[in-house]
Amino acid sequence: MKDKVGILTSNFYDPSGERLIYGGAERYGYQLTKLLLDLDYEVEWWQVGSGWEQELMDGVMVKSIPVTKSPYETMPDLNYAFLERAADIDYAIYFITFLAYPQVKEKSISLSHGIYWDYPTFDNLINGQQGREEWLRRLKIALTGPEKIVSVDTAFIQWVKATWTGLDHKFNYIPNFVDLEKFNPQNRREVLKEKPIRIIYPRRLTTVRGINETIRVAEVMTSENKDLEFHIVGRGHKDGTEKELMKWASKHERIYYYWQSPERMAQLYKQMDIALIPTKAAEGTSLSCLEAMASGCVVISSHVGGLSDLIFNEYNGLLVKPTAKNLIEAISSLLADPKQARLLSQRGIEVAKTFSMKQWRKNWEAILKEVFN
Amino acid sequence: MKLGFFVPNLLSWSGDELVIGGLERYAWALIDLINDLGWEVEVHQNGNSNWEREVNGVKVIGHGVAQFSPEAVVEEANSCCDKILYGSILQSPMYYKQNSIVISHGVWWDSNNFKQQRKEKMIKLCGNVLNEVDLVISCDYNFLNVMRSIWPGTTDKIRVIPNFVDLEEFKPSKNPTTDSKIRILYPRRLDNCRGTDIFIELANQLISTVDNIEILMAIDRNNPDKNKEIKSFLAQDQVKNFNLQFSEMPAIYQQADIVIIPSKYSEGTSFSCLEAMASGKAIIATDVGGLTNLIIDGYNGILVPPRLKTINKAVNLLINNQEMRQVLGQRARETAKAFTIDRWRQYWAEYLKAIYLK
Repeated sequence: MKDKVGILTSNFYDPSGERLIYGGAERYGYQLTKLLLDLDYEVEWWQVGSGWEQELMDGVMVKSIPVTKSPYETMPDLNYAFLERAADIDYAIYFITFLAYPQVKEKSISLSHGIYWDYPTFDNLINGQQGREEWLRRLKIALTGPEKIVSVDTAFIQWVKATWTGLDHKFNYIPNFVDLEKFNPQNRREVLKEKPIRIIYPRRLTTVRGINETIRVAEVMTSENKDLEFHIVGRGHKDGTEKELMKWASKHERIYYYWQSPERMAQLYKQMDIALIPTKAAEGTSLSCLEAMASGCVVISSHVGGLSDLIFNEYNGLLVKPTAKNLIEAISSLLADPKQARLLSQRGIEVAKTFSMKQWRKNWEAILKEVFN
Repeated sequence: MKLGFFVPNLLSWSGDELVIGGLERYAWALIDLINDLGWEVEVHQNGNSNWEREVNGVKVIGHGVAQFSPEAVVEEANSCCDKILYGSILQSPMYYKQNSIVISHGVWWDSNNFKQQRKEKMIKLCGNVLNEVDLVISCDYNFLNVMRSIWPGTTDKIRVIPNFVDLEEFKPSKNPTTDSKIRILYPRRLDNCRGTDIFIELANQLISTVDNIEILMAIDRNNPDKNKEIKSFLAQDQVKNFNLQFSEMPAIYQQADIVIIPSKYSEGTSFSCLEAMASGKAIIATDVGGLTNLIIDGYNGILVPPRLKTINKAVNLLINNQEMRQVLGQRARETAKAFTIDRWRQYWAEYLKAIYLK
């Protein structure tokens, strides 16, 4: 009989079980499942929901547990129910670090997608400074349980080491991946050669991803430079946000708003010159950043979270503090020096090759072997 | 304009000797830049008595009160200088002047040697710095990330300028050695935070398992006890011992096939790592502090957690793969081009003018 791995997450599907959430974390989950199946494990996912069950892919079920509360940004009820109900699993993967609070399966791994609380209003979710202590206490317990913790960036590991003593030995840094078969510079337009010059923002429409800075940059730059096009490509969390942005874009020449499936993004990047990743908080080794880089776009990214693991300023992109002013300056500097921009793009393509899916699978395989055997 | 510059140990406490270390090299490079801006620099530092020296045309003032209180040195410096630049964050609470810059050389408390309470103290201390000064210049993105995840509202004041390397001084050898020996270099101080213990254990394992291995130790003599401790290690035939003299370092790097930077904690964008990169060497570094801002695993070096097992695996991989060493080394040299001193000076000049000329 095959060994069975249970993976606990909060939302692979939205809690109603009707819509598959297809963000970065979910793509990660999909690839991890495929790897586990290839390694001959049986896989089962658990998440929040009314009790429904769904088939994620051939033979892989997602089962749900009715939980509504998340005190101090943890989900102890979900954690407990998983431990009780998934009694037949041999190993567990806690897909989000805090889900390993308060208790874990003996042979388990947890996963950090990066620091997610580095913005001022996070305090509101945990009841301010008072709650912070309790939130930290819980997070520490969640980190203490699993045998190994895989972190997608080095920022999370460094924060833990700066915050607590005695957890160092658990960490393994496995940066995110890019599918080089899909995302590559083949048949792409040469960077900054043809007009119009196209700038893409390939992110969700949220404040932490820097949408408001991008809007400002797009307005200022398209009005000053008739050769520039801005493509805002990503979904909002609400329909309203998407509508609003569509309305805004329609009022501006050469500013476009739409979204694409991850599959079609690969083709889109080939038509773009510059990619903006102006994240303000809650960032790991961003898939968008890796994909834009692998496709040969010149990346202008912020210096937040895992992005500094991917981009070295003025080597394979530009790394800036994400203000509208800095982004405009960075774009202008590329426009003024296309030769340098092409060098950054070229190096980005080379660097991206080290983040291949193959390497990612190899790294994960080593950890799985260490903990599960 | 006159700018006071607090550097705890630019000279020895007696004021008679130059101190050789990363922080001090950083300070001298900055002094050069400030002079080139046409400003006068006055260095204030720890002393075993009150003294005044002139070194390379720069006035250095030692404060004897350092024997009793490191904060008092800064207080005295604050009162002598209208405008002041703080060369590092002190490990005890003190008063920093407004309209000033403080330099962060990276997170220094990310170690198990720091008990929980001390870690919390260090974090609070950095929070205070962010409240008081106008700008913190950090040598790595790690400090910024850690601060943002603790004090998200105040990190607007942090700017990152990674450390630099001189590409002319440090460059690949034109005539690489062709014998069959594999030379592995440790170019660091003998210090727990630099992973000396890991390296020595690793070196001993390699000596007993790999033929034709040579261990190059470019280490300091600051601490005679530490040197004594490893005397028998250094005495082995396969170990070559160099004095860590800055002028000799370029040639030492050139001899090496593999350079190991096994830091365990308290690391920024290490000069040693940058110099090894500029020398075009295959580097194994740890995923600690600012090293992650210099090395991308598998691209221009190997990045591993600071453990004997992981470093051992990486070094064996490189020993048996000459082609990989070459590719990583070439890319390391290429990457070093993004860390030139010109670039470093350009960023620094901009911030110095923005803060001190307003």
